[in-house]
Amino acid sequence: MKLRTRLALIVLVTALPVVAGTTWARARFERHTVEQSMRDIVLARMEDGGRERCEASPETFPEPPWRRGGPGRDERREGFEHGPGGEGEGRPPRPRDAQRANAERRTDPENGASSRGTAPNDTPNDVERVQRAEEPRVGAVPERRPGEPPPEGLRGDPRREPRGEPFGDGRGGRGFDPRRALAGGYPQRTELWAYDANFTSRNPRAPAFPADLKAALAGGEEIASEPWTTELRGEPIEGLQFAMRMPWEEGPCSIMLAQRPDAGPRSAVTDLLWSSIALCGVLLAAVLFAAGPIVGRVRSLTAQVRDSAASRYTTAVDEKGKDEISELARAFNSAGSDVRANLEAVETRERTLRTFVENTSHDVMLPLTVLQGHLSAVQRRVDAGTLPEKEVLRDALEESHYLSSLLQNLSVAAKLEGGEPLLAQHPVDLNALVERAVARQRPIARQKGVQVEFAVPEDTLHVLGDVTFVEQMLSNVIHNAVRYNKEGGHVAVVLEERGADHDEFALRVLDDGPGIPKELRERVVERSFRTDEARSRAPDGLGLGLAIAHDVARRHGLAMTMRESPAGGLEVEFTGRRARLAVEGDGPAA
Amino acid sequence: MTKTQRILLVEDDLKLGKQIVDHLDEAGFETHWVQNGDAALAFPYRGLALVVLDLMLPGAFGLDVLKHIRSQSDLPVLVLSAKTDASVKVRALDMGADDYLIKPFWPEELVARVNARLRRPVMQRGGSIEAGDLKIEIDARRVSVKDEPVELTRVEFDLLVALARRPGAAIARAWLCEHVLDPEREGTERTLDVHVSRLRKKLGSCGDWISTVWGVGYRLEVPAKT
Repeated sequence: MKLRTRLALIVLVTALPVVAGTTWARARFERHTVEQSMRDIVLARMEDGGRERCEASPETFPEPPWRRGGPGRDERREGFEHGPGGEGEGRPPRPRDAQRANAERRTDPENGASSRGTAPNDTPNDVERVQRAEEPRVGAVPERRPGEPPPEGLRGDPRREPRGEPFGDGRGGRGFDPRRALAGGYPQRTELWAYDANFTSRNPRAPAFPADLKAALAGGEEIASEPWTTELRGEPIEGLQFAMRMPWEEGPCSIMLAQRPDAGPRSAVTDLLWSSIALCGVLLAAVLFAAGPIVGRVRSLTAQVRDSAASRYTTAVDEKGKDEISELARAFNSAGSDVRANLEAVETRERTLRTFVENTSHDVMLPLTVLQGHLSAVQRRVDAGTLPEKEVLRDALEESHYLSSLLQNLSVAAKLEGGEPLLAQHPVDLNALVERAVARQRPIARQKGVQVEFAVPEDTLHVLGDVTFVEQMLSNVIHNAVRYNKEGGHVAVVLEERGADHDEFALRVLDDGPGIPKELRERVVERSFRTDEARSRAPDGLGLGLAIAHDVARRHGLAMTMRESPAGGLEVEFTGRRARLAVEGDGPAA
Repeated sequence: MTKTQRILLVEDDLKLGKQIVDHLDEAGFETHWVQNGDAALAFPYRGLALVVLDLMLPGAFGLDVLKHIRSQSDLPVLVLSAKTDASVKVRALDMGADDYLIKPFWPEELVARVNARLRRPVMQRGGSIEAGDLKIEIDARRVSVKDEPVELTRVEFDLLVALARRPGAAIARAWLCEHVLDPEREGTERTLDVHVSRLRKKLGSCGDWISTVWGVGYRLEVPAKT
């Protein structure tokens, strides 16, 4: 989900319950206020003679004022104002009522600004309705009998509604237009019905007591209200009906039901709802606006990261700033430099490997070419019907021997060059190793007329290490001694115990060949076969073999020293500690 | 080698197998050649002197064959391996192989390795050592050549025994100096050479059996019986 979508959703998900909760609480509060004011009005009117009238004639309470004839309209209005005002007497408004009405009118302007039906103004509003109703239209409505249809021309005007059955006629608030009442604060008609403690009314026109309100009162509430729907000329009108207990508990008028065809407070709730939604909208816009630069920076960083990756992490991304996005950029730069370092290491390794393979091919091609030359020489002699020269055959054999040794050395070098630690740490039987290495070099030595001898102690000596590497180490030194020796020369390999407890050993290879000058001996030890110039056929004739021997010895903790042999040739000595085994003789014994 | 020794060769490569058979036969062995592991498993080992086993085999893996052989007999096994990997060789040795040979190898090298495996001690330790005309009674410190007693000094006698205990093997000069010469006196390698020279003379016709090994020391070589 994109950042802005997420922010918008969060704003909406957070705001909507708040708006709904506020609206609900506001609606509750307003309903409560309306209930209280309605109770006050009804109670005041009942105490102001209404109770007496009601208890005197509960069957007709509240009697429609127009029944009494005369200025029915005003009577009706007054009847509304006074609730059970019409009791068939047709008397004019009492001065006290008028005074009270005037007093209430005086309060009107103070609340007029918000008198469209908000709860606190509900009471003055009702009063206002009453006061306004008193003013005009006296005698404007012709008298008629109950149930008589009003003149056609007067329909639609609530103030002149001839059908307007007044307070208590049982047909419910048709005397006014709630739409206009809602729109302009025109008087509303509230109908009042009386019931006894058992929720039954003596008035046959009274509606059945609403079940929910009955339950609420029975549950101990003093007043309860609920939405109520009535009809005005076939159109449904939303209103409220109130049920309340009077302070007296007996008689036919102990419970009152007031039905008001006006849901007034709802408009205020609607206003609140709309303003909250508008606030949400503004908040949403503000959040999205604020997220804009962040989204922009993230996009810019993404583009820079892509560029950096495309350039193999050689370019860094912009790190300006002190916020989290800058931290991300710095983290990326750090990771990028690591990746770059790794890439370079891999590339270096790959280059080394490629060079190694190229050099190896070159190293192998040389002896192979020499070998092919020797073999063709033999072929020519045989074709000519003569015996091949002994020297040529010997050289061919030596070259193939060298080739085999070279390949084994390259294999060992590849492992050493790979930087692998010497994983294998097996006990190596040095007696068997010496015998095997000598046996390997003897055939070619015999061809050259070089004698190779060896001596091992009666006890088997072991060293911990990798048998392949150690054997290659020794073979290289012996091979070197044979290879550069002359016909009739000697090579001796001596394995001896050393030290007071025979805990050490010395492995010496000595020859009576040309030897190696001191400075070259040092170079052999110093230099590494890893460098390109130290390859198999270096100009000084010292090849890969001695370098590998030196490296293998070092890795096995053996000291390799080179000196001039008593016969003037070369003596190579390996010294080290022997490995004592719990069970001797794991390998071939000499 | 009074009688022809039988060798079993387990080798799948036809060219190499043929060469090995030829060389072993030439060296005086009777070679039986099987070309896969299953045949090697089925082969009766009784009467064989040695097995030459290639570790890289079709069918049963070479090490399986080795395990099978070891479960049945102690006969020497010489393993052929093209691998330079130490772990395979070490495993083969652990599983009872007596020796191994890395390809490529010289035919001469192979024969030398086989002979080394089959080399039987000509002389015994302790008691007496007898080789051809030479007889050494160690406990009695008596030496005779062609039944004629030879008078030897203590050093000469010890020197002869030291060499005769490991006939065919070169013994390092330094070892002989340390173990044979009188520790009370100044023992140098020059002194040793003098003792050897005297011993050779005293042994007469057997004196030539003691040879000087260049760069190493001395060796007693008993000529093959005729």
